[in-house]
Amino acid sequence: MNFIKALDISANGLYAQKKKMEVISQNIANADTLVTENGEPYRKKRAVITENDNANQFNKVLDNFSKPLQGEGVKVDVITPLEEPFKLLYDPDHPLANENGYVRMPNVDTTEEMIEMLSATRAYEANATVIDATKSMFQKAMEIMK
Amino acid sequence: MINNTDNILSFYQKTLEGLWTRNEVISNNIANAESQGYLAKEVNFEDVINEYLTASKGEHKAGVSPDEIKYRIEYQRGLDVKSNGNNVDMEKEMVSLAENQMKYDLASQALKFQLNLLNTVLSESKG
Repeated sequence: MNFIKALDISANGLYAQKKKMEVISQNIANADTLVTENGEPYRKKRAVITENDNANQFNKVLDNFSKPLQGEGVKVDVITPLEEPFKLLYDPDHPLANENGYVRMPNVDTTEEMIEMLSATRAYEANATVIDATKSMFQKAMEIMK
Repeated sequence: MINNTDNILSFYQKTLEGLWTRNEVISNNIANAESQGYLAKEVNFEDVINEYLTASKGEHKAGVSPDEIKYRIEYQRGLDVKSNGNNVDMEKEMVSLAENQMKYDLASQALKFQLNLLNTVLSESKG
């Protein structure tokens, strides 16, 4: 029985969802950023959550024989700018408009970000619930000798 | 009863250990609810415990020792895989979490009761 490990997994999950939320905030805040460092409009980013799978680490191989398949939480991977085309807005008077009168806008879709945000909030709550459950189980174990 | 105490206690220990591992596995499933390509896991040890209980009731009374109880972590079957290769069913996991928590409460209560019985016996012999 490993109290810390059980909490670690859920804490990992909380961290991943928080990171995801940060990226979403960043996207929404930059929904109108027309010029970034490289001269292009802002490209939306995404936090990619994957299983924390260190089964192939040298010191884990023997462990995995005795306790196969037991998980180790999650990890948040590189935040990848997605290769989606920029939105085009027709505004010939705009200083950044091209020769056809179009302005390149960031490829952030605010509605999509809102939905992502909802799902991140729910997932965060689920992980917090698991922490509560683990805590109460541990409490029961402590009460055995009372 | 005293002869059997060791067995009874390690039986409870095994049960609590299995339930605790299941809690970890459920936590892991919930944390990985959005992970790409993650497949949900589950702990199966009730079958093994049941086998032990039937065996210890029957004629093979001394045949199985609780130390031989081993739980297995397996992939869950029959779940729908989402487009990102993930098959965690959040509702199912939340229900298992609650169910597992109650089972743990029950097992720890039962163990507490056993220990109280032992305590009674021990204090009788003192007095």
